[in-house]
Amino acid sequence: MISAISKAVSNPTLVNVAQNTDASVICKTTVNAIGRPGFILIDSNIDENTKKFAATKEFLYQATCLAVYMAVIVPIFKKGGFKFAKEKIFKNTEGFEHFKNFKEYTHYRKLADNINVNNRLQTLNKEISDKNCKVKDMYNETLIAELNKEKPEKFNSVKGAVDLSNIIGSVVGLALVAPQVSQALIHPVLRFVGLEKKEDKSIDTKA
Amino acid sequence: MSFINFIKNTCSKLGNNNKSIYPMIAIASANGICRPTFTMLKKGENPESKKYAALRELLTEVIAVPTYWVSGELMAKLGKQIASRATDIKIQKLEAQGQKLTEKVKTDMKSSAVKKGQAGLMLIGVCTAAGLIIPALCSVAVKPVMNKISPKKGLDIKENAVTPPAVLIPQQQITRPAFKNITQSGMKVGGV
Repeated sequence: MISAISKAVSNPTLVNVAQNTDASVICKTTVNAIGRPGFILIDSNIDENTKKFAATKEFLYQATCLAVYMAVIVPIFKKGGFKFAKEKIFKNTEGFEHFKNFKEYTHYRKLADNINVNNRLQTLNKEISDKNCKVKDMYNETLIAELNKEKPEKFNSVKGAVDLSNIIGSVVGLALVAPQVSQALIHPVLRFVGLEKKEDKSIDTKA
Repeated sequence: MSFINFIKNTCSKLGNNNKSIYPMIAIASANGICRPTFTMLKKGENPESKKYAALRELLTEVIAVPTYWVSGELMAKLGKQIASRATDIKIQKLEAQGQKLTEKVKTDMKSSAVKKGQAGLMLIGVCTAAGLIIPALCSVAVKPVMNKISPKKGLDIKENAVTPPAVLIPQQQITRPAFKNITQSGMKVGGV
């Protein structure tokens, strides 16, 4: 029983999501988009019409947050964070000099996380990159030497820099940008769905 | 220079152990500042209502920050215990099969499993907090606190509760008078 629970909890996908800032923020916002409207709908102290309206509004708000975060914040801060850290903060030191972009680092980190050295090297020899050449050829001597060690260097600063950038992006995206975008989008959508009446701006000229 | 060193240290620590509670706490803290500020900056609304709404938003985020932290850490502790026990069972099984494991291998297996278990359960804890615990706590705690703080007891105090626009309020149906056949009436229009 306990082994089964442990296996489920230590599932590699779940662990990857947990250690990845943007994935965990996406996960949390998705839960919010389901949970918050759900809580409004089961609240017995609010009348039916208010419930329907508030739940739809909350769902739209969370969905907009999610869309803005995934479409704008994640790509900008992931790429920008790596580039900024590489060039301005770490100035091509502490591991940044070995990688052109974060994708390359993620690939290396996955291999370095593999406990078995033989498995690690076999995987590296098998894999072929998008450019139809072996991934191994894209690795420099330092990285290959590290992968041959029992405990390879994981260059934590590289991952940390991107994670920090993602945290800043999450704050900017979810606390500053998304509420403004959703304010502009929610009311037209609510009107389109028929849950909100169009504002009547006509002036009574007969008076 | 020291600021750069601070950033470097933070990056190194985050890269080594990034917990899923960090971004959640950061977002909730930023929301606690930004949402009430945006509400107070809204134009054309009653100042008292604005104050009330801003206070309610602030309270929600004040509840959210410790809830994320406590639920994440508690679940991580649970994850540590589960993973540790499961690894012990696994080691016992392997040894029963005749495999000889050194102390170093055992320690490595355990620490790796514990790290994964903690990360997985912490994420589950954070998501549970976001989807269930925080909305539940808010619906229980915000109302009495707001009643004590705000003199406007009659105001809407439910989380996200909005007065529905007029289009949603059910209106009384107009009953049309029964249509009478024109040939049965005594008047003719148009001389036909």
